[in-house]
Amino acid sequence: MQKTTKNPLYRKQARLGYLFVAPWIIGFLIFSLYPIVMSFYYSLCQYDVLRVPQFIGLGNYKELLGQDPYFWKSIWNTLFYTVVRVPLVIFGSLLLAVLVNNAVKGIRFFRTIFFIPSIITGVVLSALWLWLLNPQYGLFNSILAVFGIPGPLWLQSPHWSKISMVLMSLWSIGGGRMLVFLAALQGIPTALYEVVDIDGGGWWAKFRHITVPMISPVIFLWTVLEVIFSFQVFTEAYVMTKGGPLNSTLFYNLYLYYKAFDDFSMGYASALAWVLLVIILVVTLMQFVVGKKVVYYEGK
Amino acid sequence: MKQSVGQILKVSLVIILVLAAGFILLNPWTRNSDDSRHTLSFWSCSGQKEDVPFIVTAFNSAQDSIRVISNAIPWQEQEKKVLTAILSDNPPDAVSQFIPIVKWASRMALIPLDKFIERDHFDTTAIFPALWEEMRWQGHIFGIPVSSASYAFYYNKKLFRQAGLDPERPPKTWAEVIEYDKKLTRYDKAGNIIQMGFIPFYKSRLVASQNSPATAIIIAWEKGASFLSKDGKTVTLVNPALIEATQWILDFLKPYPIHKIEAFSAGFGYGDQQAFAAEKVAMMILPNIFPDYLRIHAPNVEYGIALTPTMPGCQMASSTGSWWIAIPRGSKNPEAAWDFIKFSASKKVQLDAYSVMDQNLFPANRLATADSIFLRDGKMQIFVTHLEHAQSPTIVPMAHDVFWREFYTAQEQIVFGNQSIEKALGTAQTIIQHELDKALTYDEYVRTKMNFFDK
Amino acid sequence: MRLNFKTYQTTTTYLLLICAAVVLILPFIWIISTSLKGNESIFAFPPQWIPKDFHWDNYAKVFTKMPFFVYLKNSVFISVMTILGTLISSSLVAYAFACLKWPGRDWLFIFVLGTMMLPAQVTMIPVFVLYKQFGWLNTFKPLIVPAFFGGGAFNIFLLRQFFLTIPKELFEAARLDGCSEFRIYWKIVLPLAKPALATVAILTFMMTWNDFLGPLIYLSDKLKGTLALGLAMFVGQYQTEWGVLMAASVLVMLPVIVLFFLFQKYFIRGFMMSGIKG
Repeated sequence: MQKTTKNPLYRKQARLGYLFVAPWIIGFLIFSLYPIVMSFYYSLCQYDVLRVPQFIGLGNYKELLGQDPYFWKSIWNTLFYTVVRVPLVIFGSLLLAVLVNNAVKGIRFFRTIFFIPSIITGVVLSALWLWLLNPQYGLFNSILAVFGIPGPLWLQSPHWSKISMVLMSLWSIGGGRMLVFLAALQGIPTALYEVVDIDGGGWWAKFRHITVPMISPVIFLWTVLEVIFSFQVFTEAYVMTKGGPLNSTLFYNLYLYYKAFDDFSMGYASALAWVLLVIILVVTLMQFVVGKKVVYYEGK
Repeated sequence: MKQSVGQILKVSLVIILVLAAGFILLNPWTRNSDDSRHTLSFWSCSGQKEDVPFIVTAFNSAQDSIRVISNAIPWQEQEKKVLTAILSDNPPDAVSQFIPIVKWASRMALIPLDKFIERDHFDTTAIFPALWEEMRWQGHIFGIPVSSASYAFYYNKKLFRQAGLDPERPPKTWAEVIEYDKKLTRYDKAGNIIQMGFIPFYKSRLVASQNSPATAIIIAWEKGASFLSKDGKTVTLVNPALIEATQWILDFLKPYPIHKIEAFSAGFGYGDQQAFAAEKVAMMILPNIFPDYLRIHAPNVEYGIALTPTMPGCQMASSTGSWWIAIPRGSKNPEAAWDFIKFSASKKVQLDAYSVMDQNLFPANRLATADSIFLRDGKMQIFVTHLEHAQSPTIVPMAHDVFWREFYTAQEQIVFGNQSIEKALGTAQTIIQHELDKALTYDEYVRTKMNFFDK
Repeated sequence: MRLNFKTYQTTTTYLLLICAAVVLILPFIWIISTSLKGNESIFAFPPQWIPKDFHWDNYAKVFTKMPFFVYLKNSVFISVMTILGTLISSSLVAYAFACLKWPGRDWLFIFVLGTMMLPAQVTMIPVFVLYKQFGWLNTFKPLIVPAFFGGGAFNIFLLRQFFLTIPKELFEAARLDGCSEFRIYWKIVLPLAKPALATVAILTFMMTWNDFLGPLIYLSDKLKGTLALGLAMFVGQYQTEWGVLMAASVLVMLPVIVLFFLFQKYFIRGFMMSGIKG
């Protein structure tokens, strides 16, 4: 009944749909359209922000795709980071959320502790991680030493620097990611778990057959978002390594930042940005296609 | 249908209310309308000892017509703040920064000061030449250096004694540095380095360790290297002087596996963990700020200061940089700003600032540094000598950041043993040249569209 | 038998919680301990957890070196306004994407997400120029007003996903009863999505509270600064007073921690259940 477009209920919904979404559309037209259009225009120009742009057509795109060694280097770094990070972060924060979803005494206190690492910023963050990742005295290598494992050089090694950045983001999963999963877990009817209890299923059975399917829309949400965030990784490298050693942490957005604000090549940076947009968009659309098949929506 | 109309109204109402709330609640925070007739706004960077810079207090009490209001901007993102301020058409009347002034000057963001200098017969020879040259862009002067950074060769006397070296006889040549280093380097039982004599490529990309100039560039300067052609159009990184300087670094590194140095230098950090302050490296080229830095973070370090070593038959070379003050395009009161700048650069004020600020700021004015009050502290003559022999680290003004990024990348490739000296420097040179060419064509185009100097 | 299993489970839970807590709290303890140290051997290895002598003056210096309470007031105002705008407008928009059917919905949604994919570095300057045209420079408007217009793709997406988990029968039943869409949004969806809304609120708060670049480029008056901006002022080329910087960041983090602790009461279980059964 609802599927026909002539249905008055549907037509009413359509009108209301546009109305509800109006704040975003108005906001987009006022605040975002001009900057987005301008950044695209600049991507076709030589432009240093303070002087007039010089239109050069597809010159920037040709250069970055054809002859810029750092374009491919930074794509590779970013891709590596994304592939390693996204599954770890999603799985880790989901486990953490399941852990703090227990209604044991003092749970609010524990949640708060897990949350704290995510609000440390700036230079303090950088000083903190210099300590944590110090090869000789740092926390990580001290723990590894207890087990007799010689720790790596972390930030100082071209092979471990990206992994160090993944560690940095794993450290703060107790922030938004844990929270969103927690909120989703709160929505799962406890009755479902009781069924597993009666069937004699254990912790893993509950996790696998109830938790994951029930909150799959939110897992999907984070996968899409984490991919977008990972492709735009910037802060960790900017505060810690500035792209080194041997450009092993020269991530895409860091390179873009250098172009935009160190070299004032805003035109070239804009071209980099639009190429990144296309890459992320394609990856996201692919995820939506896969997501349609995998994600379970109670509402549908 | 009736109901749906009512509903639409209701939703619209909520949306309008929300949007209205947004605007109404913001009303009290409209632009403030200070009377700006007698005030001069001045921006300097955060992290200086005094909240209000000494020159501001001194200027405000020295005369009645202008009152300088100073505002600190965060050190970390100072360039963005200044950039947006210039774009806003409402910039400060004067601004002080430490970055290469050409970055702003070449983008027409500053007012040229030539006519003020000529009119007031400003003594341009009083400023150290290396600092003064940095202020020049295409024949015009865009700022006045007020205080500067000078470098010297610091060495740790205690570690010298422990190694059986004479603490009053620092190395005079780079060959001696290699010799001393061998005696000063120590290992733990596992064979890890725990102390080194010198580090020729102090990791400049790790945030924690930015304050030492590149040894290879210093040595190349000694050998008379020039990296940019006179017309400013051709970059030469593959030049004999730099190749020899880099070869010296490789000679220095011969006894060490590179990963051991990497593991060792990963232990450097902020504050007291700076390599020299932590007594991990016995010899370093450091700025004039360091006696003060050491007093705060590591007062027990017993150090000496000497002239930077040289290659046989070469003149000493050093790097520098200055806190300049300039007048941004759009300044409301350039005349007053100029008065303030002139005041700040004068010999008397520079001497006063020096004595009040406790060695923090090194004068840019040579007359101040030649004064006996200034030279009371014997160390100062060493910094003055360095400044006389200094060259500007703004080597390729139109591609400054690219130059240094590429230089350090090349150096990493070389010391990691990934590439030969010629190949690494050649790659860097190609990239820098490409960026420079782009900058030059754009500059030419802009000249046909905007004419700033005639305005 | 059953009781035993429960005790075992609780013990394991606590064990895991405590292990995770110990590892994750160390950095914060390190920051607090550093905030009480003098400049000497402040970062010594291995870390000296209990300072030799306690430098409480580091905390005192925070208040003398920046107008702390003015910045606190500004930060609170900006954060509260931003949260308010984000909550209302993003939930409205998310409702349209999750609970209503209209032509072009899914494409517009991808488009909304697309606005997250363009790195902000390249839109920053045109956005700045735009606000300059509006005459909004040196006011809080650029930091607040956009939140009232959609609340950002991130929040819209987040709420949409939560709204999608609400059983569809609820909407249909309400619609058949003649309930208006606005009523469904206000009376059914929002109460059911309380944990999600609380999440949006706390995340928005975190983002706004720690935002450094926005206040940096839009606010120029000393007294219009925010705490995040004030914090950055403690960092200099050479003269970073680490003890004071750490003290200041502890003070800036504290409200976020307290608020997070208090906000958790909105993560309540079972609310949804009664909704479905009733």
